Amino acid sequence: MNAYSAKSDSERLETTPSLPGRPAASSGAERRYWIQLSDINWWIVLFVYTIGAVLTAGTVYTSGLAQGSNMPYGYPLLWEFTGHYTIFALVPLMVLGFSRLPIRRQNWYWTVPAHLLISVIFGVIHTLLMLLTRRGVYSLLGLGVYDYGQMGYRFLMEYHKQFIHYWLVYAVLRVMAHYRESREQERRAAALELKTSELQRELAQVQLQALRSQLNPHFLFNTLNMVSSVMYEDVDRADHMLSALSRMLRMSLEKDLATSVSLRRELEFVRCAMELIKARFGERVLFDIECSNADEDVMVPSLILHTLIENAIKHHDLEREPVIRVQARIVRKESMLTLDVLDNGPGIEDVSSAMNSGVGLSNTRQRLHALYGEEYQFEIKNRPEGGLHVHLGIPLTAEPPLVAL
Amino acid sequence: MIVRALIADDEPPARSKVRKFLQARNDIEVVAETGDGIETIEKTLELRPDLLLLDIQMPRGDGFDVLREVYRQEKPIVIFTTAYDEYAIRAFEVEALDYLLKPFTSERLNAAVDRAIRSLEKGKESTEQVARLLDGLRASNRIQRLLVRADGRIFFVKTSDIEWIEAEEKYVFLHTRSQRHMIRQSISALEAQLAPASFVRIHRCHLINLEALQEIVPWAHGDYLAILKSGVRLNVGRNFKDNLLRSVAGEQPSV
Repeated sequence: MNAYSAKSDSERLETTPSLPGRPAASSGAERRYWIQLSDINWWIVLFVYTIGAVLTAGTVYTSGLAQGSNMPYGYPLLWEFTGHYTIFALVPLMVLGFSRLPIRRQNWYWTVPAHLLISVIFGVIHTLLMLLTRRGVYSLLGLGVYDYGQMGYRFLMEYHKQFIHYWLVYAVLRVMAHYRESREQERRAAALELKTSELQRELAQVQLQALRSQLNPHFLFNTLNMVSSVMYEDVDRADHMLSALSRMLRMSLEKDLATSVSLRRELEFVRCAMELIKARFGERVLFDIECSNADEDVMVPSLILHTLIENAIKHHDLEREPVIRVQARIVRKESMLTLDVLDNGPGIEDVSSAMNSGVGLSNTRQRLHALYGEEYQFEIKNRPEGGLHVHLGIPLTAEPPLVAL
Repeated sequence: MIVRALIADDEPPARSKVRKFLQARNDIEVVAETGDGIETIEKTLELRPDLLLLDIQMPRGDGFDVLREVYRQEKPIVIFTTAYDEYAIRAFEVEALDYLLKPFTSERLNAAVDRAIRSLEKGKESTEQVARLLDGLRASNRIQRLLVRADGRIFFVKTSDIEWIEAEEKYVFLHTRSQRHMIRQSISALEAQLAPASFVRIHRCHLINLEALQEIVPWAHGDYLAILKSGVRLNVGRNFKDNLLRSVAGEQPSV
């Protein structure tokens, strides 16, 4: 037996656009994004630090000139490049630190002190790195031993700059994250709008088809012809048929029929249609509705039962099976209303492809999806004794289901 | 003259209404009433009526299936009746054939019958129009059934159920998944009829349904072998190889 669940291909509407940055903290209710290492173009950062080194070297050199010093430009240049490039080497660690330990409104009282402590550690490391690289370069270039004076004061002096630097990096990351987040929101808004309009279009399509099938011209003209013929033989019967037809027409002219109706109305519509079909087919159609414990005030998608029954009759092959038997069972099960339609027709060779291409069935599935999202069951299978079994389950509501937009 | 008429309609009340209208005239004799395609074919061939009141939608062969079969031997005047069939109506309009939209009045029926009687007296000029109608239907893939006579009964085989067709002398065999039916027709005539329904000639003696084709594999000496989904293996004739590959490429570019 081949059963197919409609839930499998509904992801189409569920996919949210993927985001380039991972969410920073899972604790916050709001989704915030923070800048990751991979989000940064490190060539640009290197360029910025190089410019910074050249400019600060210029200020050191010129301020030396102002004080009458005749130190060559090469020295401040060397100092500043080693200073800037060593901190450039540490920037990735800072980015990592800020993303691992994000400062938020609800945790600032411990994260800010923690970052202050980290900045001190960074400062010490950076100062040591500077010292080591300068010593290395000095000895390499044969400039003698680099003397950085009293290191205690140096750590303190450098920390002033390092403190500013640390928080400057934070500020830049903050701005970048904010920019990204707003771009992402725009993108998501656009995607949502697209999804909404797609859904609306689908819904409109489904409703249009539903409206069309109510007044299926084949059905209408065949019935009218039947009445016109029966009239000569049995006036009472012709009268009954006209009354059933007008009840159907009246119901289908109601504006709100396009979405959902009470089970009572749906059953009435179906019974009218069946009465007319029986009048046409006579002994060749056997039809049976069982509606045991279901409250008839519950709302169901309009024509849901009618479409399935109509489908069963339409696809019946009288050459193989001279009598059409259609059985509908409506049962309330906990919070679901289940509708089962069984027929003795030819069944379906390829159940899963029929689900997607068979107009009646895929139309029904689209409608269910538009109305209930994932909260429905829809299965079709060939019955072991021959014929098709369509199973539907919808959530029980006394109100019309909310259109899932 | 008395015109012998046959009423074909699957709804008994609709038939009795037409009979009532016709019996009110004194120039028509209703020789039979039939309720499906096969019965209509049998009765028409047996009773040879002058006039056929033919419903289009019927079980066991629709009005067109009936005509296609009947017209090989008998050429009655036909008045088509239909409640709603845009396709059929367009076809009638194209050939300027008379048709009645159900429900119709006795006046409308009488006018159509009068016209039919006049053309009977003049010698049946409408037969050519019906022949053209059938040609037109063939071209637009309206052929969904083939009529088979076997063991003294006749029935239809759906073209979609046929996997392949084999020619043997003057006969052809229609192979479905479980059965084999013989019909007396040339394979070339069948090929012409079924070409729009995705049937392709692959051999002097073989016609296959592309829907039933599994794969085409190269065989010895540049020959090809067609393997059907049912496992049947058929030689592809050298002269038909290009024809098959072209049809397959048109259908599924991946093969």
